[in-house]
Amino acid sequence: MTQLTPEQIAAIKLQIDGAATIAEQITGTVAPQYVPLIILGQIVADAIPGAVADIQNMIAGNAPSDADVQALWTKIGALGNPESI
Amino acid sequence: MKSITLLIFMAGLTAATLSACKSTGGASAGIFQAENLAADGAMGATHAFNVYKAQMFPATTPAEQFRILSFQTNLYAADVKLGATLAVTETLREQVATNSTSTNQTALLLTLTALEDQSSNIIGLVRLFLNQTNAP
Repeated sequence: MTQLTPEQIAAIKLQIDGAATIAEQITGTVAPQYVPLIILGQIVADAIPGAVADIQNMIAGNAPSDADVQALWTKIGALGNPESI
Repeated sequence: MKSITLLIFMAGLTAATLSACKSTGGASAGIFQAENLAADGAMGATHAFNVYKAQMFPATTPAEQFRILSFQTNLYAADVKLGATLAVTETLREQVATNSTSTNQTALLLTLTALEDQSSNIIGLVRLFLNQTNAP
């Protein structure tokens, strides 16, 4: 089993707290009485996997692969074209 | 309150990633994850707005439609700026990996701080917008 350093453990805890906070932020953005539940479900389902992947990558502690870097640049490109998000 | 919590989290994450960066002597996976987190947070919020707009826009009043379009302009401009900051941050991260001079590290720290501010602001803006929505 991989031994994590105290810094890594602290970072993972922050990631988990952050993911939960972001999920809460995103779901909290929509007043349920105004938006059909199915839209809320779609928003959450789309948002959570990204946060989970961030945590998994943090736990793995590996340097980002070329594919990871490429994926980040894809996100950067998407932010430049936000209507596609 | 939630926005404050997120800001506190982001500040903590920066401290942790910078600490990890110092301990490894170079750009770390932690900084890369911080970049991803900033991108994912902003994209999640933008996606929430886009879904809301696509579903609700046709049924709202002209005044509400105007409000949605006005907000969209501001949100998309913020997204583009975040993307530009992310591009600079990622470029600096790669540079620090091969040349970890204090100048490069300081620049990276500054862009990370800007990244957190921009991502948190986008999430906060969308949250504020949707909380003020009075669509039927």
